[in-house]
Amino acid sequence: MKSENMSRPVLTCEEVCRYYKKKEKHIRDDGTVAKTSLVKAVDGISFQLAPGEILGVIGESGCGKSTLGRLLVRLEKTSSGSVLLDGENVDQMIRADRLGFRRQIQMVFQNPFDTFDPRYTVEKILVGTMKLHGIGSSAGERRELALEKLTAAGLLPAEDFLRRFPHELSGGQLQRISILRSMLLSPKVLVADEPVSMLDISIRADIINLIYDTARSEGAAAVFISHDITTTRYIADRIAVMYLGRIVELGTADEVALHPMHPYTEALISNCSSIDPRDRRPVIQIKGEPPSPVDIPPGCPFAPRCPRATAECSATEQTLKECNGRLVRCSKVTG
Amino acid sequence: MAILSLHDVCVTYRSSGKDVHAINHVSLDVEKNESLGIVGESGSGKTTLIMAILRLLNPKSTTVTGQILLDGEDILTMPDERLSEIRWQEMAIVFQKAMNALSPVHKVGKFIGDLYRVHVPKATNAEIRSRIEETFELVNLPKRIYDLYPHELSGGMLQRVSIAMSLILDPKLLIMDEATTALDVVTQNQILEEIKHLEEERGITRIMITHDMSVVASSCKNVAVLYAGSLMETGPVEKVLVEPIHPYTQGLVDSFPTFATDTHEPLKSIGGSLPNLADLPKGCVFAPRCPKACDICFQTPPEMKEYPGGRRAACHLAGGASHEE
Repeated sequence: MKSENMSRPVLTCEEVCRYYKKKEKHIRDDGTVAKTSLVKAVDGISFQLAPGEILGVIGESGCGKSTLGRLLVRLEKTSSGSVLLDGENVDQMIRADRLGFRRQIQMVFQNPFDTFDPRYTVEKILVGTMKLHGIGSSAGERRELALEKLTAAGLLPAEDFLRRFPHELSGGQLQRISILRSMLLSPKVLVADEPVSMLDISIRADIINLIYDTARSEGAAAVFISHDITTTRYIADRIAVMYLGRIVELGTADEVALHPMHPYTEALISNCSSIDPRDRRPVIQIKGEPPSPVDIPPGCPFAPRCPRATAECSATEQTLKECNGRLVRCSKVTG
Repeated sequence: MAILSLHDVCVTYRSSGKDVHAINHVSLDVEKNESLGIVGESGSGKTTLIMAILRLLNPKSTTVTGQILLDGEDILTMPDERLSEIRWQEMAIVFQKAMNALSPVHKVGKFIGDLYRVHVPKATNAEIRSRIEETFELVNLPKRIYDLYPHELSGGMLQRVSIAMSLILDPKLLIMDEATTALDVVTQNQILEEIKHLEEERGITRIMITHDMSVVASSCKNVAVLYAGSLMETGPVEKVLVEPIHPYTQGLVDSFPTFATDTHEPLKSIGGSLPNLADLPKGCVFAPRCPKACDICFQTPPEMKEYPGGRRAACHLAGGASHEE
């Protein structure tokens, strides 16, 4: 019974798509004119997240990783496919009980400076959240809990922080408050969209450790969206690599980061320079920029930039296949 | 001879009656053909230093003291006419936000053309166009960009346009202020490769400001570490980033996860935050956050000392302390 519970995914994505319609005249490759265009930001993403697991999502900007994050917490509606939280469809959950749904899945955003109401003190931010969600029975109790959480996150002296306004805090401190506000609700899933990219290197490690430790201690699962492969490898159990709205490779963090199989993952990782100047791996140059997600050509969308591509790659649709315990979307990769 | 040398440069902002010491006694030489990376946290004064070198700081609210010599000429004291002459011709800058560096209502070619005309007033339209297209080629941009507006270009292309713009008058010194930070790793690497190539070809000296040390590690010869407006350590990249002398550099290096990091070991970070620049600590500026700080660090500011291998560091404990480990 217990083991069955353990293995049941807390978050499931089934062929999740998000298309945007754009009213703009544009000329297709074959010369015909289209009046509207379809931007396929997220195009058929499927994965399962086990309780307590941390999934990293990496990719270049514009690959749809942020849209995916917003779909998971239902800030955006899926065009097709469904997101299931604990086996329940999020569309139904949010209609039935919006607050209850928000308690179960929380998000940490990229820019901590835009996350808070500038007129609220930290106390109002934290206590207000608890009051809204019915945590704690009295104002005193909520305040105590806020103090306890601030102390645990290393924001000392906690009393002093409660009185401060967001503009009096640094980015790192705000991001810590953002994380602990999310974790106050003991969510089952935490979605973090580039939580450290705005912060200084010297404090990034603190934030990464905080997300890792709180997720682990609360038993929450997390989706960590980032473009930084080394950081993602550090925090995540599994990594999904996205290219133009699709997952091109999904596997355990170490395997994907150290032995990438998909040519895109390989190129992306070879481009991440190390801070150790002695560690100079050959960089795989990929030409051009990703094609626009408007009217993606048939076949593999990476084919025009891929060093291993042949004629058939641009002709045939690639599917996500299992390969040595990993999912890879490339016909050139065989187990 | 050094193409750019800074002697005891200090920059002070006056802000609501208080003096904010943004740059404190920075001395630095940049040799010809050197590529120097300046790293530091935000607020460490990287951009202020560059603004001082370009003399772009508002003289009403800032005081710059010391000497900034470009090829032997002091930028701080030269007449305004001479200054406008050497900007873009002798030294050019690529700003972080390429989107904001160009005019949204002018075509890219027109905008760069205006810049060219200011410095070469006799140039004909055809000459300007061919010169701009030539420069576009250097940074792998198609010629058709000339007739496009900035909003029609992607971030990577815009950044290339900014770089092309900085190269239009063949400057000796190229300053890049977080020029590739907003780009994807793939595009960033493409551009860095192009820049490195151009440097060799045209003998350009590059100063690169960034907080991303991996960029410095892969594209610069030397590195200077700045903290709270003071220079902490300088030297060749392969020495400074591998065996840092200064505890601050060590802290920065440690806080970077690498592929070699064991994923189960918690990442290290530097506790605390930058000191208040209006009220700097009496001793070493890094002492309040330094794990190794002792009494002397809080009492007297350390002097810049020379170390073997062309390195310099400002730390009381350097030498002895770092060798013990």
